[in-house]
Amino acid sequence: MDYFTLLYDGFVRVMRPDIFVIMLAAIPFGLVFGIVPGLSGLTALAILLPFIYGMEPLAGLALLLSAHAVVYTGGSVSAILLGIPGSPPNAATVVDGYPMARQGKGGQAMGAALMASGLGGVFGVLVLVAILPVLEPIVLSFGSPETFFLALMGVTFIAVVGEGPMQKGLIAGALGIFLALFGYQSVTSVPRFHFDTDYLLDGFRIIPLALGLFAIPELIALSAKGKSVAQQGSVSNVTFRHVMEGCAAVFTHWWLFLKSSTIGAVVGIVPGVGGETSPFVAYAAAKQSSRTASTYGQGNIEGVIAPESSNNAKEGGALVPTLAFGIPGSTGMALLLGGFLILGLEPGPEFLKEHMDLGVGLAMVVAIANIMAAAVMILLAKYIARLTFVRGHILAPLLLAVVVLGTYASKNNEMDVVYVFIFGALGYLMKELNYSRAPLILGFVLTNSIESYLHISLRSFGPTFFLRPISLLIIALLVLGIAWPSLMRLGNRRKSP
Amino acid sequence: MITRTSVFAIVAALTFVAAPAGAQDAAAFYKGKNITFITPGSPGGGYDTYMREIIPHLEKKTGATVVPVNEPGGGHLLAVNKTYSAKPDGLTILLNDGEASLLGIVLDVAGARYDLAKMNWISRINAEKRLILFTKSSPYKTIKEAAGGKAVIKFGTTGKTDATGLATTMASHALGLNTSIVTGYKGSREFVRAAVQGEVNAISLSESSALRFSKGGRLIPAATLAHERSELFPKVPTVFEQLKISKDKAWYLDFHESFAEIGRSLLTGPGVPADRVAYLRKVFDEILNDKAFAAHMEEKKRPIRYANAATLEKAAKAVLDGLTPERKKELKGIILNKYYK
Repeated sequence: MDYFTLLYDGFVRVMRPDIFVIMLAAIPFGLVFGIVPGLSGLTALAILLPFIYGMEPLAGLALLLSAHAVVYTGGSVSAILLGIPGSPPNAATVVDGYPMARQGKGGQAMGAALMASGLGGVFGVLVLVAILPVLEPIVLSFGSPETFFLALMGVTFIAVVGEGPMQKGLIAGALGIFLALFGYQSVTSVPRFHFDTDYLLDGFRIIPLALGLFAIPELIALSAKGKSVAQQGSVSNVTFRHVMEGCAAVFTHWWLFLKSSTIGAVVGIVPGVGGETSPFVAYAAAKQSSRTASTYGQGNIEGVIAPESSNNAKEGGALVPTLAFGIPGSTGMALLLGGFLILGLEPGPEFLKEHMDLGVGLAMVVAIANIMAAAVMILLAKYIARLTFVRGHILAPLLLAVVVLGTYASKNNEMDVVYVFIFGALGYLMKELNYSRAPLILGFVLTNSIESYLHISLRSFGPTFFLRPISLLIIALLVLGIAWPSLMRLGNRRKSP
Repeated sequence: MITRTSVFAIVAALTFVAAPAGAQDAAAFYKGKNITFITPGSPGGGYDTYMREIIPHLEKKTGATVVPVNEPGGGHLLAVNKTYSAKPDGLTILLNDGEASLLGIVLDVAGARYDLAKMNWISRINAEKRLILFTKSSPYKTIKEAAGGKAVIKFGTTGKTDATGLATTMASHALGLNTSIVTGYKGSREFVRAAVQGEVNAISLSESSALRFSKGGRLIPAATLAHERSELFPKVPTVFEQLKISKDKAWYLDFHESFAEIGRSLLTGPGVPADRVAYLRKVFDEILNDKAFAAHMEEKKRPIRYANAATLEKAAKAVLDGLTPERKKELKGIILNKYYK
């Protein structure tokens, strides 16, 4: 069966009235869970999971997937307009999206983010369908050493992600790595630094960390100044034309979009790296190769397009190992896998042989959900962007209530709320001292993968574990990535007389 | 005149009257209350599926509202800690990872803040035998070849103190396998992937997982780690059938089997009034022995393997009571160090 027939069959399979209605119900749900800080895609999936008991497989999975696929689309809105990542991977979007909102360009930033998200999601699906027939050899070529090097590659971007001096970025990244070392360690089965408390037995949680670092400092600033987020422009300045300008920017930066979406899809395909990494990697790669790198962190629209296209593309990629091996490619996919099992399906090599049509149908669900969510949000963007013109003393208390409730709802644990404020104090200090907060999140999400897969690689293959073709290729890319800015500078010097 | 017979008659009558009264009180207590049902599994996983499938039946039988709580983390010990420290009113029930909770005590794992002997066993939902499977890249094809063989077998596990680690170390020690264990995989699916890729060349899996992952001949079931064959693998002989195992070496395999006997079981914390414990046992016995429910779960590939509280208490005692300080020290050495050098 050729590629287009596969796509067409998947499309026809999904275009059933019942599936369509389910998607229509799930998409707003996913968007709201994305927009509200603390309520991540994981919470959305955990809430929806019990509803699929007894449903027909495609319908049940369409409910979960369409909600999950659009969470990051919603999350970009709060990241841009409020400087608070709707879900942790949206933290990379804050770096340039929020300064744009403060400059009164919230409409353009949202347009760019939504278009990049929607098209990125579709890109991820196209990659998935293209490799569905040959999933197994592709997934099998990524073992623990390759996963380790990909995670290591992510770490090298720590210095590049975010605004401010590189040294401070490295310090922030190191702090993220340190915080990730708390709690139960699966390799040794020993809990570290848990101070004999139950909460720390499981280490720090990403939701309180991300919300504390980003939300609390912004809320303090909003309350203290009493002014709105947007410091320039006025409500009447946010027009549909502005939003469409942002959308058009994705097409004028088509190479950046393709590069970032590819990064997202590849990071998603490799289980273990953690899909949360992809927006940071895409952001750093964009900054490293950009001619306007010096304006990153100050409201460069490229800094919005890169993480958002990668963020949604990774979900298509993450479906690859989920379907091929039943190994989730992102944390959301772990819950989706639960959905498969509840519906009596067992993802794995045999699954795709028997249910290829269902696999393609699910890919189509992701694509359609992405397009629909982006379209809805683009239409509403003009009105939502007006939030940035609400005065701080009105907005801050409302947002604080949402942040506290969102954090509590993520695990029903009151200690998470306490830690939001502890990390909030850290975030405030970092902001005041001009330390970028995004590298901290990147260091935090990558540490576990690096530690585990380095251990596995050494135990399985010994000290020469890097002498595998794909590992060597990743190492070459890693070195090239580090050397790229110097090579660019060298090239520019030679060009100039 | 009061005779001994009449005293017995009175006591028996009082017991007869009091027992149903206690049960009635307990039944009345649960009506309209909120029960917190904790599991160490993540949403969508095996533990979670069992919990969520049971909840409607539990609500129907007790008249209570049941609130599911997923408490993964801490090597499955957080959920036990939380149940142990809950208010002793019988409104907190744990669907327990028996092997992890017992190992927490046997190995004095940091963070294990509970005493299983003080907790109340309710019933067992499921327990599975374990199998050893070799990959195509394994230096051995049979367990007979492997026992005493010089080539190293690399086993993949999730951690040192969980079911996969325990089965591997106990089997390796009892059978004299030249084992090296690679820990750190995020779950059985991941070390199955690693086995197929050749990162490791042997794994230990529960019988249902073994059935799932051995399809297509990628993994070869070599032996069942039990005295009786697995119903799912009737053609795969047990280790006892394949090898002559001395009594002292068999102890480690029996020790492992006692662990496996606990399986996925239900518990409440210490200090819960006896009538409520008895009532919960009765309710769960009814749910788990319901034929329609069992058939439904079988269809979901989540079979019910019921055992009552007495059987669980006996199995836990078999693990915990036979542990002298010397034996504990030896087990710690085997489970935590021997195969990680």
